[in-house]
Amino acid sequence: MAEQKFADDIVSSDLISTTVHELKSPLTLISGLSSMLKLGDFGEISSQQEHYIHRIMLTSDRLLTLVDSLLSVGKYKRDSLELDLEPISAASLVRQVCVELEPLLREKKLTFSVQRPRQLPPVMADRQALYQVLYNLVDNAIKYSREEGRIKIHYKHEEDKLRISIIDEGVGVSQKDIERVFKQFGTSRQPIQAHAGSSGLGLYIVKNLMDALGGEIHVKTLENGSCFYILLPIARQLSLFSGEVIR
Amino acid sequence: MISILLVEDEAPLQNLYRIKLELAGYEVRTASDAQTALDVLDHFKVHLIILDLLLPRHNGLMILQELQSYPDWRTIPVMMLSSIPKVDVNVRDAVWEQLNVVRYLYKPTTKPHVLVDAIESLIERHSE
Repeated sequence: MAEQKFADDIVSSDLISTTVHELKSPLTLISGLSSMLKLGDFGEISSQQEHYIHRIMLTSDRLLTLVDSLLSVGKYKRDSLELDLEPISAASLVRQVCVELEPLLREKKLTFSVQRPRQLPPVMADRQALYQVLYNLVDNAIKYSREEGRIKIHYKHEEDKLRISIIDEGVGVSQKDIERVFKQFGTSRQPIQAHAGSSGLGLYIVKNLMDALGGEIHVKTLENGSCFYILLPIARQLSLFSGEVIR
Repeated sequence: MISILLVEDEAPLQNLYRIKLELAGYEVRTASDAQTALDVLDHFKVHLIILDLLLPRHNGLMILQELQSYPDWRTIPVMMLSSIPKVDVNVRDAVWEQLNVVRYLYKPTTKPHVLVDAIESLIERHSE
Protein backbone atom coordinates (compact mmCIF):
# COMPACT_ATOMS: atom_id res chain seq x y z
CA MET A 1 0.00 0.00 0.00
CA ALA A 2 2.75 2.43 1.04
CA GLU A 3 4.74 1.37 -2.01
CA GLN A 4 1.77 2.10 -4.28
CA LYS A 5 1.35 5.57 -2.74
CA PHE A 6 5.06 6.24 -3.19
CA ALA A 7 4.82 5.19 -6.85
CA ASP A 8 1.73 7.40 -7.33
CA ASP A 9 3.49 10.37 -5.72
CA ILE A 10 6.49 9.88 -7.96
CA VAL A 11 4.56 9.85 -11.21
CA SER A 12 2.45 12.79 -10.03
CA SER A 13 5.43 15.02 -9.33
CA ASP A 14 6.04 17.88 -11.77
CA LEU A 15 9.79 17.59 -11.25
CA ILE A 16 9.76 13.93 -12.19
CA SER A 17 7.49 14.60 -15.17
CA THR A 18 9.87 17.25 -16.44
CA THR A 19 12.86 14.97 -15.94
CA VAL A 20 11.09 12.11 -17.70
CA HIS A 21 10.19 14.45 -20.57
CA GLU A 22 13.86 15.45 -20.85
CA LEU A 23 14.73 11.80 -21.46
CA LYS A 24 12.90 11.93 -24.79
CA SER A 25 15.60 13.83 -26.68
CA PRO A 26 18.58 11.61 -25.87
CA LEU A 27 16.49 8.50 -26.46
CA THR A 28 15.20 9.87 -29.77
CA LEU A 29 18.81 10.50 -30.73
CA ILE A 30 19.93 6.97 -29.81
CA SER A 31 16.97 5.47 -31.66
CA GLY A 32 17.54 7.69 -34.73
CA LEU A 33 21.29 7.12 -34.86
CA SER A 34 20.92 3.36 -34.53
CA SER A 35 18.30 3.27 -37.30
CA MET A 36 20.67 5.19 -39.59
CA LEU A 37 23.55 2.85 -38.71
CA LYS A 38 21.28 -0.14 -39.41
CA LEU A 39 20.23 1.25 -42.77
CA GLY A 40 23.89 1.66 -43.72
CA ASP A 41 23.78 5.47 -43.82
CA PHE A 42 27.26 5.64 -42.25
CA GLY A 43 28.72 2.78 -44.28
CA GLU A 44 28.33 -0.93 -44.62
CA ILE A 45 27.92 -3.06 -41.49
CA SER A 46 28.29 -6.77 -40.86
CA SER A 47 25.27 -8.92 -40.03
CA GLN A 48 26.51 -9.25 -36.44
CA GLN A 49 26.81 -5.48 -36.12
CA GLU A 50 23.33 -5.13 -37.60
CA HIS A 51 21.98 -7.57 -35.01
CA TYR A 52 23.41 -5.59 -32.08
CA ILE A 53 22.44 -2.21 -33.54
CA HIS A 54 18.91 -3.54 -33.94
CA ARG A 55 18.89 -4.43 -30.24
CA ILE A 56 20.04 -0.92 -29.31
CA MET A 57 17.22 0.48 -31.43
CA LEU A 58 14.60 -1.77 -29.83
CA THR A 59 15.81 -0.96 -26.33
CA SER A 60 15.71 2.79 -26.93
CA ASP A 61 12.24 2.48 -28.52
CA ARG A 62 11.09 0.52 -25.50
CA LEU A 63 12.41 3.23 -23.18
CA LEU A 64 10.61 5.87 -25.26
CA THR A 65 7.36 3.92 -24.85
CA LEU A 66 7.98 3.78 -21.10
CA VAL A 67 8.67 7.53 -20.98
CA ASP A 68 5.41 8.25 -22.82
CA SER A 69 3.47 5.95 -20.52
CA LEU A 70 4.98 7.50 -17.37
CA LEU A 71 4.11 10.96 -18.63
CA SER A 72 0.53 9.89 -19.32
CA VAL A 73 0.09 8.30 -15.90
CA GLY A 74 1.60 11.38 -14.26
CA LYS A 75 -0.60 13.74 -16.25
CA TYR A 76 -3.84 11.93 -15.44
CA LYS A 77 -2.96 11.49 -11.77
CA ARG A 78 -2.03 15.18 -11.48
CA ASP A 79 -5.17 16.39 -13.17
CA SER A 80 -7.32 13.85 -11.28
CA LEU A 81 -8.88 12.95 -14.62
CA GLU A 82 -10.79 16.17 -15.12
CA LEU A 83 -12.52 15.40 -18.36
CA ASP A 84 -14.25 17.68 -20.79
CA LEU A 85 -17.05 15.54 -22.18
CA GLU A 86 -18.48 16.49 -25.57
CA PRO A 87 -20.01 14.73 -28.59
CA ILE A 88 -17.13 13.35 -30.65
CA SER A 89 -16.77 11.39 -33.85
CA ALA A 90 -14.76 8.35 -32.73
CA ALA A 91 -14.07 7.39 -36.37
CA SER A 92 -12.38 10.73 -36.97
CA LEU A 93 -10.14 10.20 -33.91
CA VAL A 94 -9.27 6.70 -35.14
CA ARG A 95 -8.24 8.21 -38.48
CA GLN A 96 -5.96 10.71 -36.69
CA VAL A 97 -4.39 7.90 -34.67
CA CYS A 98 -3.75 5.93 -37.86
CA VAL A 99 -2.07 8.90 -39.53
CA GLU A 100 0.19 9.26 -36.50
CA LEU A 101 1.05 5.56 -36.43
CA GLU A 102 1.29 5.09 -40.19
CA PRO A 103 5.13 4.90 -40.16
CA LEU A 104 4.97 1.95 -37.76
CA LEU A 105 2.26 0.23 -39.83
CA ARG A 106 4.37 0.66 -42.92
CA GLU A 107 7.54 -0.55 -41.18
CA LYS A 108 5.85 -3.86 -40.32
CA LYS A 109 4.04 -4.04 -43.68
CA LEU A 110 0.69 -4.41 -41.92
CA THR A 111 -2.65 -4.30 -43.68
CA PHE A 112 -5.16 -2.09 -41.99
CA SER A 113 -8.90 -2.30 -42.59
CA VAL A 114 -12.00 -0.68 -41.17
CA GLN A 115 -15.48 -2.16 -41.04
CA ARG A 116 -18.23 0.26 -40.10
CA PRO A 117 -21.90 0.97 -40.67
CA ARG A 118 -22.61 3.93 -42.93
CA GLN A 119 -24.01 6.00 -40.04
CA LEU A 120 -21.99 6.17 -36.84
CA PRO A 121 -23.42 8.07 -33.90
CA PRO A 122 -21.15 10.48 -32.01
CA VAL A 123 -19.94 9.33 -28.61
CA MET A 124 -19.82 11.36 -25.41
CA ALA A 125 -16.16 11.54 -24.45
CA ASP A 126 -13.17 13.71 -23.68
CA ARG A 127 -11.23 14.19 -26.91
CA GLN A 128 -7.76 13.91 -25.39
CA ALA A 129 -8.60 10.92 -23.21
CA LEU A 130 -10.30 9.02 -26.03
CA TYR A 131 -7.41 9.78 -28.37
CA GLN A 132 -5.02 8.34 -25.77
CA VAL A 133 -7.16 5.20 -25.45
CA LEU A 134 -7.34 4.63 -29.20
CA TYR A 135 -3.66 5.45 -29.69
CA ASN A 136 -2.58 2.92 -27.06
CA LEU A 137 -4.86 0.20 -28.44
CA VAL A 138 -3.79 0.62 -32.07
CA ASP A 139 -0.13 1.01 -31.03
CA ASN A 140 -0.39 -2.25 -29.06
CA ALA A 141 -2.03 -4.02 -32.00
CA ILE A 142 0.91 -2.96 -34.18
CA LYS A 143 3.49 -3.91 -31.57
CA TYR A 144 2.09 -7.40 -31.08
CA SER A 145 1.39 -8.10 -34.74
CA ARG A 146 3.52 -10.29 -36.88
CA GLU A 147 5.07 -8.73 -39.96
CA GLU A 148 2.67 -8.51 -42.88
CA GLY A 149 -0.24 -9.25 -40.54
CA ARG A 150 -3.64 -7.58 -40.49
CA ILE A 151 -5.22 -5.15 -38.10
CA LYS A 152 -8.97 -4.59 -38.24
CA ILE A 153 -11.06 -1.88 -36.66
CA HIS A 154 -14.70 -2.78 -36.32
CA TYR A 155 -17.50 -0.44 -35.23
CA LYS A 156 -20.87 -1.61 -33.96
CA HIS A 157 -23.81 0.39 -32.67
CA GLU A 158 -25.22 -1.46 -29.61
CA GLU A 159 -28.30 0.25 -28.11
CA ASP A 160 -26.89 3.24 -26.21
CA LYS A 161 -23.23 2.33 -26.76
CA LEU A 162 -20.75 2.29 -29.59
CA ARG A 163 -18.46 -0.71 -29.66
CA ILE A 164 -15.05 -0.25 -31.24
CA SER A 165 -13.00 -3.42 -31.65
CA ILE A 166 -9.30 -3.48 -32.48
CA ILE A 167 -8.39 -6.90 -33.77
CA ASP A 168 -4.85 -8.06 -34.41
CA GLU A 169 -3.23 -11.25 -35.61
CA GLY A 170 -0.50 -11.18 -33.00
CA VAL A 171 0.49 -13.44 -30.14
CA GLY A 172 -2.86 -13.08 -28.34
CA VAL A 173 -3.52 -13.03 -24.60
CA SER A 174 -3.72 -16.28 -22.70
CA GLN A 175 -6.91 -16.91 -20.66
CA LYS A 176 -5.01 -16.76 -17.38
CA ASP A 177 -3.46 -13.42 -18.27
CA ILE A 178 -6.69 -11.69 -19.29
CA GLU A 179 -7.30 -10.54 -15.69
CA ARG A 180 -3.84 -9.01 -15.40
CA VAL A 181 -3.46 -7.04 -18.59
CA PHE A 182 -5.22 -3.94 -17.27
CA LYS A 183 -3.22 -3.79 -14.04
CA GLN A 184 -0.24 -1.51 -13.47
CA PHE A 185 2.89 -3.20 -14.86
CA GLY A 186 0.61 -6.14 -15.65
CA THR A 187 1.88 -6.79 -19.14
CA SER A 188 1.59 -10.42 -20.08
CA ARG A 189 1.79 -10.64 -23.81
CA GLN A 190 5.20 -11.33 -25.13
CA PRO A 191 5.89 -8.88 -27.92
CA ILE A 192 6.73 -10.49 -31.19
CA GLN A 193 10.44 -11.12 -31.02
CA ALA A 194 12.55 -8.28 -32.36
CA HIS A 195 9.92 -5.61 -31.88
CA ALA A 196 9.58 -2.91 -29.28
CA GLY A 197 8.40 -4.16 -25.90
CA SER A 198 5.71 -2.98 -23.56
CA SER A 199 6.04 -0.70 -20.56
CA GLY A 200 3.23 -2.49 -18.73
CA LEU A 201 1.48 0.85 -18.26
CA GLY A 202 -0.37 1.37 -21.54
CA LEU A 203 -3.41 -0.81 -20.82
CA TYR A 204 -3.48 0.34 -17.20
CA ILE A 205 -3.82 3.91 -18.48
CA VAL A 206 -6.46 2.84 -21.01
CA LYS A 207 -8.52 1.07 -18.33
CA ASN A 208 -8.41 4.10 -16.02
CA LEU A 209 -9.40 6.44 -18.84
CA MET A 210 -12.25 4.20 -19.95
CA ASP A 211 -13.58 4.02 -16.35
CA ALA A 212 -13.43 7.81 -16.15
CA LEU A 213 -15.24 8.13 -19.48
CA GLY A 214 -18.04 5.89 -18.23
CA GLY A 215 -17.11 3.27 -20.78
CA GLU A 216 -15.79 -0.26 -20.68
CA ILE A 217 -12.84 -2.14 -22.06
CA HIS A 218 -12.61 -5.87 -22.64
CA VAL A 219 -10.25 -8.29 -24.26
CA LYS A 220 -10.97 -11.54 -26.06
CA THR A 221 -8.39 -14.00 -27.10
CA LEU A 222 -8.84 -15.27 -30.63
CA GLU A 223 -7.58 -18.34 -32.39
CA ASN A 224 -5.14 -16.14 -34.21
CA GLY A 225 -4.51 -12.96 -32.22
CA SER A 226 -6.58 -10.86 -29.90
CA CYS A 227 -9.48 -8.45 -29.87
CA PHE A 228 -9.58 -5.46 -27.55
CA TYR A 229 -12.91 -3.69 -27.61
CA ILE A 230 -14.24 -0.60 -25.93
CA LEU A 231 -17.83 0.44 -25.28
CA LEU A 232 -18.54 4.15 -25.24
CA PRO A 233 -21.76 5.95 -24.37
CA ILE A 234 -23.48 7.44 -27.38
CA ALA A 235 -24.13 11.17 -27.22
CA ARG A 236 -27.90 10.76 -27.43
CA GLN A 237 -28.86 13.97 -25.76
CA LEU A 238 -27.30 16.05 -28.52
CA SER A 239 -30.05 18.36 -29.64
CA LEU A 240 -30.49 19.04 -33.31
CA PHE A 241 -31.15 22.64 -32.37
CA SER A 242 -28.20 23.16 -30.05
CA GLY A 243 -25.96 24.25 -32.88
CA GLU A 244 -23.14 22.10 -31.54
CA VAL A 245 -20.65 20.94 -34.10
CA ILE A 246 -19.19 17.46 -33.85
CA ARG A 247 -15.49 17.76 -34.49
CA MET B 1 17.23 20.92 -55.84
CA ILE B 2 14.65 21.08 -53.06
CA SER B 3 15.78 23.30 -50.23
CA ILE B 4 14.68 22.64 -46.66
CA LEU B 5 14.98 24.83 -43.58
CA LEU B 6 15.40 22.65 -40.50
CA VAL B 7 14.67 24.52 -37.26
CA GLU B 8 15.79 22.41 -34.30
CA ASP B 9 17.54 23.73 -31.20
CA GLU B 10 19.10 20.49 -30.02
CA ALA B 11 22.36 20.24 -31.90
CA PRO B 12 22.73 16.41 -31.94
CA LEU B 13 19.17 15.93 -33.25
CA GLN B 14 19.58 18.76 -35.76
CA ASN B 15 22.77 17.11 -36.98
CA LEU B 16 21.12 13.70 -37.25
CA TYR B 17 18.16 14.92 -39.32
CA ARG B 18 20.41 17.16 -41.46
CA ILE B 19 22.70 14.27 -42.40
CA LYS B 20 19.75 12.05 -43.33
CA LEU B 21 18.08 14.78 -45.40
CA GLU B 22 21.35 15.54 -47.22
CA LEU B 23 21.85 11.83 -47.91
CA ALA B 24 18.35 11.82 -49.41
CA GLY B 25 19.44 14.58 -51.78
CA TYR B 26 17.96 17.70 -50.23
CA GLU B 27 19.73 20.99 -49.65
CA VAL B 28 19.44 21.73 -45.94
CA ARG B 29 19.74 25.04 -44.11
CA THR B 30 19.64 24.87 -40.35
CA ALA B 31 18.61 27.19 -37.54
CA SER B 32 18.55 26.71 -33.79
CA ASP B 33 16.25 29.60 -32.91
CA ALA B 34 13.52 31.78 -34.37
CA GLN B 35 15.73 34.73 -35.30
CA THR B 36 18.22 32.57 -37.22
CA ALA B 37 15.31 30.84 -38.97
CA LEU B 38 13.88 34.17 -40.14
CA ASP B 39 17.38 35.31 -41.25
CA VAL B 40 17.72 32.17 -43.39
CA LEU B 41 14.32 32.84 -44.95
CA ASP B 42 15.41 36.40 -45.69
CA HIS B 43 18.47 35.26 -47.64
CA PHE B 44 17.60 31.92 -49.21
CA LYS B 45 14.77 30.38 -51.17
CA VAL B 46 13.24 27.59 -49.08
CA HIS B 47 10.68 25.03 -50.32
CA LEU B 48 9.83 23.39 -47.00
CA ILE B 49 10.29 24.18 -43.32
CA ILE B 50 10.71 21.51 -40.66
CA LEU B 51 9.95 23.24 -37.40
CA ASP B 52 10.44 22.19 -33.81
CA LEU B 53 7.63 23.37 -31.56
CA LEU B 54 9.72 24.11 -28.48
CA LEU B 55 12.50 26.57 -29.19
CA PRO B 56 14.45 28.91 -26.95
CA ARG B 57 12.84 32.35 -26.46
CA HIS B 58 10.21 32.16 -29.26
CA ASN B 59 8.35 28.92 -29.80
CA GLY B 60 7.47 27.36 -33.13
CA LEU B 61 3.93 28.76 -33.08
CA MET B 62 5.33 32.29 -33.04
CA ILE B 63 7.45 31.50 -36.08
CA LEU B 64 4.34 30.17 -37.84
CA GLN B 65 2.52 33.42 -37.13
CA GLU B 66 5.50 35.43 -38.37
CA LEU B 67 5.52 33.40 -41.60
CA GLN B 68 1.89 34.35 -42.18
CA SER B 69 2.81 38.05 -42.10
CA TYR B 70 4.83 37.88 -45.31
CA PRO B 71 3.35 36.86 -48.69
CA ASP B 72 6.60 35.16 -49.80
CA TRP B 73 6.72 32.96 -46.71
CA ARG B 74 3.00 32.35 -46.21
CA THR B 75 2.86 29.60 -48.81
CA ILE B 76 5.88 27.61 -47.67
CA PRO B 77 4.63 24.26 -46.33
CA VAL B 78 5.65 23.48 -42.76
CA MET B 79 6.12 20.14 -41.03
CA MET B 80 6.05 20.37 -37.26
CA LEU B 81 8.48 18.06 -35.48
CA SER B 82 7.92 17.92 -31.76
CA SER B 83 8.50 15.83 -28.68
CA ILE B 84 5.03 16.85 -27.53
CA PRO B 85 2.25 14.65 -28.96
CA LYS B 86 -0.11 16.57 -31.24
CA VAL B 87 -3.07 15.79 -29.02
CA ASP B 88 -1.38 17.59 -26.10
CA VAL B 89 -0.94 20.80 -28.09
CA ASN B 90 -3.99 22.98 -27.74
CA VAL B 91 -4.29 23.84 -31.42
CA ARG B 92 -7.18 22.69 -33.60
CA ASP B 93 -6.63 21.02 -36.97
CA ALA B 94 -8.23 23.96 -38.78
CA VAL B 95 -5.68 26.32 -37.20
CA TRP B 96 -2.77 24.09 -38.23
CA GLU B 97 -4.16 24.18 -41.77
CA GLN B 98 -4.46 27.97 -41.71
CA LEU B 99 -0.83 28.15 -40.62
CA ASN B 100 0.08 25.94 -43.60
CA VAL B 101 1.21 23.05 -41.38
CA VAL B 102 0.96 20.03 -43.67
CA ARG B 103 2.06 17.39 -41.18
CA TYR B 104 2.65 17.11 -37.44
CA LEU B 105 5.35 14.57 -36.60
CA TYR B 106 6.02 13.20 -33.13
CA LYS B 107 9.79 13.09 -32.69
CA PRO B 108 10.08 9.83 -30.71
CA THR B 109 8.38 7.89 -33.53
CA THR B 110 9.97 9.88 -36.35
CA LYS B 111 13.21 8.15 -37.14
CA PRO B 112 15.25 9.98 -39.79
CA HIS B 113 14.05 7.70 -42.62
CA VAL B 114 10.44 8.30 -41.53
CA LEU B 115 11.00 12.04 -41.91
CA VAL B 116 12.38 11.48 -45.42
CA ASP B 117 9.34 9.28 -46.25
CA ALA B 118 7.01 12.02 -45.03
CA ILE B 119 8.75 14.60 -47.25
CA GLU B 120 8.63 12.28 -50.26
CA SER B 121 4.89 11.70 -49.74
CA LEU B 122 4.37 15.45 -49.58
CA ILE B 123 6.31 15.99 -52.80
CA GLU B 124 4.31 13.22 -54.51
CA ARG B 125 1.04 14.81 -53.40
CA HIS B 126 2.16 18.20 -54.72
CA SER B 127 3.25 16.83 -58.08
CA GLU B 128 -0.06 14.97 -58.69
